Amino acid sequence: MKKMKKIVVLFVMIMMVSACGKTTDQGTENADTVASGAASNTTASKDTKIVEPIEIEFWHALGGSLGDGLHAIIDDYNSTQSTYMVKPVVVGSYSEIDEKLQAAYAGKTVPALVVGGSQDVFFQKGLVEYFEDYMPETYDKEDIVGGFLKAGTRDDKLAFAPAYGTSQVLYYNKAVLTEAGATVDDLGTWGTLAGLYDQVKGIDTGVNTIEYVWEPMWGNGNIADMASSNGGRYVSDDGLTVTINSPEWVEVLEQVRIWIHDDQKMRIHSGGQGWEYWYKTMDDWVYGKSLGYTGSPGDYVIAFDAVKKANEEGYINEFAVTHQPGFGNHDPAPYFSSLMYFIPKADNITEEQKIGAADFVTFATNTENTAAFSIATGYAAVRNSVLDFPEYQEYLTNNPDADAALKQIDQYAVPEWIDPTGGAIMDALTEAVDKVEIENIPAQKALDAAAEKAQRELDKIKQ
Amino acid sequence: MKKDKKIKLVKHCFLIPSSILFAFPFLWMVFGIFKTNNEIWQTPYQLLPGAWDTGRVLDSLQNIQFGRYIFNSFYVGFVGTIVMLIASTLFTYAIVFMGNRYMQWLFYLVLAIYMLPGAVTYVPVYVILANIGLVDSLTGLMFSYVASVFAVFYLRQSFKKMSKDYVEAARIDGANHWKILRHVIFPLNKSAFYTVFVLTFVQQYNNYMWPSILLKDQNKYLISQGLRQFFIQDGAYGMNWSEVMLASTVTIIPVIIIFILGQRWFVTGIMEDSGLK
Repeated sequence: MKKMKKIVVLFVMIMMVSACGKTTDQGTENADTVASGAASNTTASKDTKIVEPIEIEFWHALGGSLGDGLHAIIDDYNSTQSTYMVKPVVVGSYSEIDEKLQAAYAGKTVPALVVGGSQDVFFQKGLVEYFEDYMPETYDKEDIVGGFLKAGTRDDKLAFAPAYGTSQVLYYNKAVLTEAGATVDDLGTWGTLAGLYDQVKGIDTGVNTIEYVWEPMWGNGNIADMASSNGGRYVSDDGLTVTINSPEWVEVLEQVRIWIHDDQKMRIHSGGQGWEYWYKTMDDWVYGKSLGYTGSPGDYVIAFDAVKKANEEGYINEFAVTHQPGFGNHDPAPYFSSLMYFIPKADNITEEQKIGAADFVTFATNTENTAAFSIATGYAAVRNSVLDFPEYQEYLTNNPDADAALKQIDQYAVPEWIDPTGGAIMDALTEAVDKVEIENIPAQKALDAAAEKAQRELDKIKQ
Repeated sequence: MKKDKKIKLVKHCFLIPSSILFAFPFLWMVFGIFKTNNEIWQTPYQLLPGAWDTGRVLDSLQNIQFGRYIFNSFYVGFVGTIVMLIASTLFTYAIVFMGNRYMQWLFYLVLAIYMLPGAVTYVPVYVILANIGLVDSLTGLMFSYVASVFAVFYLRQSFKKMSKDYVEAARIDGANHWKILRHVIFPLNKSAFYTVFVLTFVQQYNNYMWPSILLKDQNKYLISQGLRQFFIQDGAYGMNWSEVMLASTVTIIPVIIIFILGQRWFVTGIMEDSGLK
């Protein structure tokens, strides 16, 4: 009997926990219903017709200052009109957006709007609506910077709406550069930059001393930018042959291997949780262990603050940003890309929701909001009119080198290359770069293996 | 006697470094709570912090706001595991004690499913849950955990090692299936039940990938997703690593408590044959 009682008590406990969970599950929902009910009653007394706003579920992967900037725009949009209600969902990363979207397409629970992720992969599978089909008249397409417009266009129609632009730039410690008797002109080519090693090594930066002349960012991005300058291309002009093991690529990657492993002039942070490798790379520059690093324009705001804070703690660092160097005697030719808004094509999204999604995108990317987002994050604005916007002009005068990315995109950068295999060539290149940068394997060997693997994938789609 | 001492010494020489090796990440995390960012990353690394600033730690504890995530994880881990255990026990009882040749085939079929990588099942399970309206709900998450092949396999091994004489004796005395389960099977396989409970609880408590696909509402996130928030922030450079260490420590404390409370049962379940005592 006693045991029976114990079972009953346990059962009741489980039921209570279960009920408690359900209450919390539904608690917000109930509160919302009550609130909206109350609001509806008030409205009903004025108008006889009650119109609920159309919900626009919006997935993004922006956190920190980027997320704050975007959410401020969303709140502004929701409070300035009553037809649509944008509901943001923060996803862990761009790759998680892809995974979550795949499941959502299968389960017919796709959101009305997404920014980031592999929009081209989904587009090639016919799972993305043309943005232009839902674009309101107020969307000024002609004002979009040429490269971004081209990147978002498919079949002469705007398929994706550019959100903001990025192209990797150099963050460097001007105080160390000056102490070494050099100027920003010495960062003009990768050769002259690496040549500064002997001059900067051991310079006292308050708490630490300079150990490395440069820290490129882990991944294939920086290598691709150098190779682009050196004339390296991903595939041949006819699009049939993978060329990532051409002499231009091998020369670049082998030189980077020598700088990292043989000469130990440069360093790569890799692995870790999420963006840990990125932050460690930044840390080394902020706290005076390296002359500089290659980073995203999105680092600008946080890096600027971090350097100021480090200065207060006794670290010597003078914040400066410049465009990427060229490789050899060539001009710089880094890639630029744009984060894109896209409207998924799925049965569970109504036409009204798609129109609403395009309406929000138009609001979020108007001149004022584009400028505000660019100021808040450091990313390059995708509209030409931003340059004439008074607040943006004032921002440029108060923040050193804040337009470095924009200038680079304007003067040197080339549009991001679109992998026709949906990512297989890029994956093979990433693997090769890791082998060289982390495992010290000769570039020729790593790139030959990568090219062979990538060619097999390219052949599959060209047959 | 001397030989015993020598063996003991050798054992300790092996076990002490092994213990330090296994405890090191945990100690690194706990001491990290009191370190500044620079102390955490400085080379050469230092295990102990420069100062034990408990005031700052208490402030951080208020900042991390993990209460909701811990509750969700606990709710899913506890209720989900209990429901899963009930379902698995009934199924295992059927295939072991109500066995006929079809039951054996059914078991082999279930075992074959165990060989499937978890990620392969994400999309089909998501579609099923979407069709019954359980996407983005903790109920849906627990529902997807109800059928556990691991639990069936583990309990079956335990039930089979148990002498069937007890079950037959109970039947002769007129006990029905429920009574046999309650008064014979459960007491004789307590350690197996506990082992399955702890392992499944920990797995459900810590799970990241599947909940992150299924859940959208931040209020329903599990602790692992809450913890991940510290790392996903695109451009969230300058993160407070001591807070990350604190959040990680807070995350694993419930699991450690559960393990310590039931350590005796857990170890018995792993080490010894169940049933014949």
